[in-house]
Amino acid sequence: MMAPSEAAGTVLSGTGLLREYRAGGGSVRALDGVDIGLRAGELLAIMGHSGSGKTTLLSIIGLLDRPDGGRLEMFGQDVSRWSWGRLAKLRRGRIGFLFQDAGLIERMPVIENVILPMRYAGIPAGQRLEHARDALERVGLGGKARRLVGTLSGGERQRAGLARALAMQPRLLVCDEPSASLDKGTTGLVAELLREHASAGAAVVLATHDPLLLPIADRVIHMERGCIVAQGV
Amino acid sequence: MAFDSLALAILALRARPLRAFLMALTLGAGTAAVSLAAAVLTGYSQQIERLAFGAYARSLVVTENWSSQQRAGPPTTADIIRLRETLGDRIEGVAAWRTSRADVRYAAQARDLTLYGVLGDYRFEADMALSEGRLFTPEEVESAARVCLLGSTAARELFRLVRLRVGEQVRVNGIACEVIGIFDMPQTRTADRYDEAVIAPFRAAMRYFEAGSSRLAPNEADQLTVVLRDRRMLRPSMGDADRVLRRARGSPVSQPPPFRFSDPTAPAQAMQRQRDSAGALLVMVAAISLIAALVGYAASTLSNVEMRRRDIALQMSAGAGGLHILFQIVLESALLGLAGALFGALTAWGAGALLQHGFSIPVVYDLRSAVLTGVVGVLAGLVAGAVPAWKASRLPPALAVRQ
Repeated sequence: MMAPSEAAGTVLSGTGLLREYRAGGGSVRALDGVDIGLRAGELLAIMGHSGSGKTTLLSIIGLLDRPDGGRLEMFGQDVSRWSWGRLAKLRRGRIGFLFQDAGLIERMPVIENVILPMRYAGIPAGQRLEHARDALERVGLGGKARRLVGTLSGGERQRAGLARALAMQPRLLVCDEPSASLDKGTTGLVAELLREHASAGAAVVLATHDPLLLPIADRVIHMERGCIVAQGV
Repeated sequence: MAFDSLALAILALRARPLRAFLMALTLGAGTAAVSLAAAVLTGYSQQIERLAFGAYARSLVVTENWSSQQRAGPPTTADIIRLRETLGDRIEGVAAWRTSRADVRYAAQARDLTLYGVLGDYRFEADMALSEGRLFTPEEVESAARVCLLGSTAARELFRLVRLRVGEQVRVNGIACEVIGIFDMPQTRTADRYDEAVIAPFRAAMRYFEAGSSRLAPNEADQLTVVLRDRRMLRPSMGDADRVLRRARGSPVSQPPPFRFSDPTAPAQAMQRQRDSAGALLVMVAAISLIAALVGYAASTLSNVEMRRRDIALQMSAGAGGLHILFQIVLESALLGLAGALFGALTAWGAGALLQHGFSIPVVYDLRSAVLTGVVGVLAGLVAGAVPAWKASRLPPALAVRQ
């Protein structure tokens, strides 16, 4: 049974999120009481300078990191104090990632990278191969499925990363600077597929500096020194 | 999970083939040391077992007593009849041996070999398998037929590249002799002496091949071997044999015995001492090699995990839990261990063959050695890979975002 907040379409809800890193003798507060919410079908863009806390916020939203304080609800469950094992289980098949450098494993064939999340989600072999091929076709890499990632160009890598992120149709897609160092054409394709994914009912959150991606966002927030300083539609 | 982890482990190993190969070699070196030590110890143990419990250990070996002042000469074929009459049912077999040197030739090859002339149940001592051909028939061994058996090394050196050696004629001290069989490599020290030798029927050796050079009369032998049915019969049989042979030679009990009866357990005891000291040394060397291999392998696995931190974090972002990563790295180690075991087994087998043929050290590879090699390889991989795998499983997944 879905939790009430999930039934209402809320994918994530964070209140007073805190995250500190130890550096040298002291500590640096990367997130300082951030409140954030995201609904299914919504595309949220996070903007801010380097060191403003965007990446830390994405890590916590993507359950790759845990907040030191505050409360985080994901898919209707309070995950603030969950163990790494439980977080991994929740992440599996529900959350997709697209990283600045595509985040692919260099010495693995492209199709194996795309299949990887589906292996952990327990999708049967035949089915995951079919999903992976479809996803690669969608990004125009159908003919390069067996190539090693290391032999792809920057744009192709990002498209392969997108194929991996979308192959399982995750309910939350977390993107960190997905268009950095991409040409205009590839940026357009990335933007189109992200928007399409959100319109299909998934929540998408992306950290970006790229003005070309802003028009596809439903909402934009600005961060500075670990805090949200402005929000807009 | 198991199948996917195995597939990912294989992909990870294939991603860095040279590194994987070198890591397998590291484990292989340690495994080879253990495998070789086990094979040599098994070889010695089997040899001792054969010496102690095989037919030779229940043999009375009768030779002339050179230290006796009342020289009665060597034992004769007539003594065989006396011993058979005296010892009766206690005897399982009796053989008489004449030993001399012979110039043996085949085509342009010539070798100076030991020539044995045999009569009776010679197979108790010439305890080797045949690699080709056949043994003497009962009729041949009792006759003066010009047929012979060759030891493995003797045949290899005489025939060189000739493939069909059985049926060929060699010349023993200038007399033609048909080769009817060739022995395999000797596995025991007692059989070692027949490796570079030619064996012919007693009467043929005496009549044709010794070519007048023999110091023995036609009915005399260098040695009589009386194989008894039970080892416990040795002591009483020795006394009975001494009595009957003294009587035949007219040698009173007050005089030293005309013949010597050698202690068949002496070689086994000597071998046991040799095995114990060699075994301790081998175990020590094998243990040090294995520890060195484990340390080297663990260091390589740790640096491999360090190198793959981001990849592991990316796997975590794709849904892998700590257990998935732990299991995958452990599987990688086990696979490398298995490959190392295979490499180690091959190396140990090669080194074993060298030791056996070059230095006459008994080396035996059996199922136990093979299983031990496999188990040691996989266990070594698991033990050395455990800490790096545990470290990998505890990497923070946020590394995926922070390049």
